[in-house]
Amino acid sequence: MEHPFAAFWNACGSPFAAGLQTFPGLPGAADLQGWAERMKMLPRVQQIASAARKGATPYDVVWQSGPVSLRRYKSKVDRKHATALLCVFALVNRPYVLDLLPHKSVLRHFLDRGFDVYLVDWGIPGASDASKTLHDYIEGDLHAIVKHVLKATAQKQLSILGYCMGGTMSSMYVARHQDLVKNFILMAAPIDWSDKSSLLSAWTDAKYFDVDAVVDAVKMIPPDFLGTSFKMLRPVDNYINKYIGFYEKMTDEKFLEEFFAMETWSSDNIPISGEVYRDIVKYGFQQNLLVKGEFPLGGKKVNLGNITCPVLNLIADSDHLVPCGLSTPFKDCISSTDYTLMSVKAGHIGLAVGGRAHKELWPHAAQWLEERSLRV
Amino acid sequence: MNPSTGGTFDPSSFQKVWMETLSKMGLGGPPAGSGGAEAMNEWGKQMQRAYLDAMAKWSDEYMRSPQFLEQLKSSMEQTLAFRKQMEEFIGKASNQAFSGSLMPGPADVLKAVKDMESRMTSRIAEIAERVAALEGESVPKRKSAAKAKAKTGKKKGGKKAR
Repeated sequence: MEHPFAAFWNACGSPFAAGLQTFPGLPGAADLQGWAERMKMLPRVQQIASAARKGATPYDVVWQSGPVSLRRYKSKVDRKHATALLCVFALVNRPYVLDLLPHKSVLRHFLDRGFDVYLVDWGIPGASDASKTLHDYIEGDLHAIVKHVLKATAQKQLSILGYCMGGTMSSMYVARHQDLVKNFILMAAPIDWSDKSSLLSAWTDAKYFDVDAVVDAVKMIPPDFLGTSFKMLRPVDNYINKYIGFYEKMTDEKFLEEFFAMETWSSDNIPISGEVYRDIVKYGFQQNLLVKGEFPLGGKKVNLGNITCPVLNLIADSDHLVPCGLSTPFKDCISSTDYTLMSVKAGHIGLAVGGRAHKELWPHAAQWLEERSLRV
Repeated sequence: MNPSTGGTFDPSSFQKVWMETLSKMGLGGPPAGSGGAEAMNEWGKQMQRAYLDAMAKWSDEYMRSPQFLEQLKSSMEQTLAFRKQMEEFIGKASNQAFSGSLMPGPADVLKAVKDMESRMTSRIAEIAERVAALEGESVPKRKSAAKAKAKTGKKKGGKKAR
């Protein structure tokens, strides 16, 4: 049905209307009709927006300590692999991006192949977690979780998938506890900060950014600070193009479902412990100590050379947050002889939720793990 | 940042980005003849894309420039100084006006202490376990570590939630 305003506009057929159409950006009759269709869609848009869920697959919380918990995902497929998969996401944002929608769930690729899949939820840290260090998270929570999974699965080893900073943390863990880890999947994880192509590297340059002063003043890094920083990496995309795209596709319900699932996740920012932020910025971004084998963790240095298990490194070609150059040198830091690199044309988050990644990358990644895991 | 200018932001790069964009926009030109509204719309979208791409490129370049980073630094310093002043002011004011009732309550302090205690106990238990393993007395040591944990009343490191 034609919107009355559009009908009026068409009926005029005036040189005025035709003149407007010659100026791009100004509404022509066709634009007005499209506008009317979009306005009619608004109640449905609101419905879809309010129905956006945080994750798609049911799970049980099987372990908890303070804000940190462990999820075990339910599968419709019989378990085929004795080696469980533990997924570790970053401390910023929430981990359900790995299970955003049924057709865009990284976890489901593994569940559907009969893996026992666990996901670490670091939770929302409170004021009392401000002093929690990277060492507390890795040697405390993560180690306790690994021990729990091994006990629950009656196995001596498990596989770990670490995404973004969760990948960096996992690599430190694997370096310390190689005997407990059978396979390691690294997903867009920063390892070598000598690559300065990311804007984050410029912003955290020690010459301009005094991380000690910031952490000492605020204790916990507020979620808005992190959220805005990430959005400002691509201001035109995040503040303009996103809304143009939304307007153009807002009559497509599938698009809306994906858009609001993504918006729900990207605005679900959480604070981060100041001490963790200090460790990452100072020893990672500013001093690049991990690849030098000098990253301090609980008084001892992390030596990535201790990693000997099979490693799959997944990178996104157009990653603006963790450019490929920050991840690919991982190969030269470890002692593994079984190393595979897979890349896909996607951005940092597209690696987890992009259509291309789910079609071209994840089936191969799941197969890679399948070939290296113990069967039941 | 333009490397040819020795690390300083070159204002001419701004001009260059926009001149390139404008020339690209101008080269195609509006569709002539029978294309109609659809062709015009498509041309409009192309111009819009070119404009936004140029804006993205320029903003990225600008946000890497020393000028921007200096501004960021000074703005951060001002914010932190302001925050410090505000905290001092609010602390003084609350002490004077409400006799400290705006300070963290005993529950907050207790929770912070409990959480820290839990983390420390967990770490001590782990170290005790390692020492015991080294000394070949792992069983009795584990028991004492478990007792120490039970005393704190905090289930760190392996509570079954469901």
